[in-house]
Amino acid sequence: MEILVKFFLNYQEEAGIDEKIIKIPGDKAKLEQVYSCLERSTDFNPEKVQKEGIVLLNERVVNNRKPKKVEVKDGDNISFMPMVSGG
Amino acid sequence: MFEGGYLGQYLRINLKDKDIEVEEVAPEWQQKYLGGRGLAARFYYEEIESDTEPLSRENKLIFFTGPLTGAPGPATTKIGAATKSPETRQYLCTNSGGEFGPHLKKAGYDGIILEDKADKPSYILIKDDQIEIRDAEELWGKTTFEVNEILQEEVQQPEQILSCGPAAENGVVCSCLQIGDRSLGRGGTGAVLASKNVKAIAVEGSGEVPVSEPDKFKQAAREAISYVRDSKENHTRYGTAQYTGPMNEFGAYPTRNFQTGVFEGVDTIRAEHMKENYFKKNKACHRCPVACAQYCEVQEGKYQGAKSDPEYETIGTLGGMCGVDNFAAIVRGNELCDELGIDTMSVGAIIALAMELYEKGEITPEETGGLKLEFGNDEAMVKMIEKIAYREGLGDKLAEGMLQLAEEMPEHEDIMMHVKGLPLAAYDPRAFYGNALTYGTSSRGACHNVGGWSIRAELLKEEHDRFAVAGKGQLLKSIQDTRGYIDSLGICTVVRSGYGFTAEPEGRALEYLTGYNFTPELMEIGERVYTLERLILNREGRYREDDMLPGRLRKEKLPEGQAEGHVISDDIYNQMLDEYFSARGWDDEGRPTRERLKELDIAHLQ
Repeated sequence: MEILVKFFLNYQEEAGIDEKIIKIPGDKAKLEQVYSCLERSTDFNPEKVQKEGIVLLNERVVNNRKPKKVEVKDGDNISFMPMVSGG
Repeated sequence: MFEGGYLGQYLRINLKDKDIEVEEVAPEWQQKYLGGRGLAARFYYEEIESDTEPLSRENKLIFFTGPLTGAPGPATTKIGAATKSPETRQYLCTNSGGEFGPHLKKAGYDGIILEDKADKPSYILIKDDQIEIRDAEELWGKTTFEVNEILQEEVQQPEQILSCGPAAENGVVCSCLQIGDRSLGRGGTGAVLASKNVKAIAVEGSGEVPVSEPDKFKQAAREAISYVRDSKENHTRYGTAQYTGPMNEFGAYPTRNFQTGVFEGVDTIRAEHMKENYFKKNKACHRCPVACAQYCEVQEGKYQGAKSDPEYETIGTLGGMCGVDNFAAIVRGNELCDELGIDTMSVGAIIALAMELYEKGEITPEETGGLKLEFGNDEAMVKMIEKIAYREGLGDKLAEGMLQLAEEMPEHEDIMMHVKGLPLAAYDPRAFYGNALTYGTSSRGACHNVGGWSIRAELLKEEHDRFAVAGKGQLLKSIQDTRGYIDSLGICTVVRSGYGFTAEPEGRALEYLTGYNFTPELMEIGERVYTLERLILNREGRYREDDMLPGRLRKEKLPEGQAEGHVISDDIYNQMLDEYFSARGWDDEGRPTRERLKELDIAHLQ
């Protein structure tokens, strides 16, 4: 299965890319596997996003602190962005 | 009553009589309204009649700092102001960072009230207890940059000078006041100052803001600095421009006068692009460790040499709203706005409206002097800023603002994106329903700050899902009350959490500063400020019907993106508004009830 991953702001700087298509065997997977795949192939640090970022799955916010519970499937897109805060 | 934070006195300057009085601020008012926005609103209630014309000599400009302004802590930078707005023809509150507020405190004053009108162009110089009203013939007609250059000999830095530009002298209703690169941006304070024949106020103070318990305050300040350095890293790295990409991703990025929430040209105006191609350095307000201002410079092309620090809202209004994907043009547009003294947000919104009317054939090429005022035409966007500031051609009409245009072209009212005369900020409420209440109930018109920035809560808390209706009234009340006290403290909202200033206030910084434990009362103070502002609005004839959104948001569904198909129907909006009024203890028309006023100890003001 293929998943489109987009990186915003500091995550883009850290990963060194703005988007990437990752391939995971099978039809379904967990967000945790996406993290592992990204750790292997980029400088992206999942711990940081779990601590302070927002993860959007198909443009809806998901619980990034429980990546084992978030299911992803072929064709999904995932965005990593920092927590927005007023100013 | 207070052992620090306040000086306890303000300047009342009658410009006609050249009479300068130092008057005391009642400690009871400080206790109930803190300072800044709260205290300015209290003076406004007392001194500005509901039928006062904004540009008449009867209007006043009321400036107040907060207890934290100028104190030795992070981002203690803000000064607030209240006046009758020429743009909205009602109560206006506004504020700015920079060094003006801190130096006013160091000179020995919590605020300034300007009354009446000078007989000839003037500027005011305040150096501790030496206060002069000086001749400003030389300054009249000059840009704010030129004013800073001329007055720089009087004070240490341009951030200590508050000035208006040519737009204000020309009575442009969205002209602003500049403090260096910062602005008292919204509502037309510039035109009010110019109508009083005052071009600038420069201030230099040699004293210090008193602190009740200096060592303990210093420790609290250190902790605040440490917290904000960690938590606001992205503000330092990208400034508020960081929101551009995410808001577009959420389908909330107002594009071509709110015709859609997704801008196809976002990649060349987002923060990442800005950082790589235009960023020169960070700039900080008074004692701010975040330094969120992203000072940019255009190195090549037709805008080569342009320099400015565009914020998210400016990028949104001069960029996406006008369909402009050329970041260099936004840097130049922002620079022009600062130079000519005009609000980037309102001017961007009104140019976007004019672009739509031009494309519909309602504004003709004859009216634009041949300028192709089409969405995406960056040169037209930049040119129109100048035309509005100097009231040339079509600019003369647009300089009167949305309310006037709505009266002249009522058939197009649905696409005039304002509430109470103030154009919307750069978030589309159809993608965040709470944001609809933000705009509708903000006491100064469609403002994302005063009205309460709900987007973070709507993204992160399940119970406040962005497309949910129930619960938004209560949510907005809480965010607005928080903002009400933050704006009265004298600090920048970006650092507020570092001091413990949230919807559940904690920490003792304010107690160490003033000697009085404000913390348990802060949310009530915020609510009191908001309710007082509503009393003023009621007095000026603003009720429920004035809280309604523009027709486009109520009738047109977003055509694409994450929020595709969403619209703030009258039914949805009225449900949220009913819940909001109920949470506030206001009646169906948006009038505070006697019971709630008693609870807030302001029943005597009804």
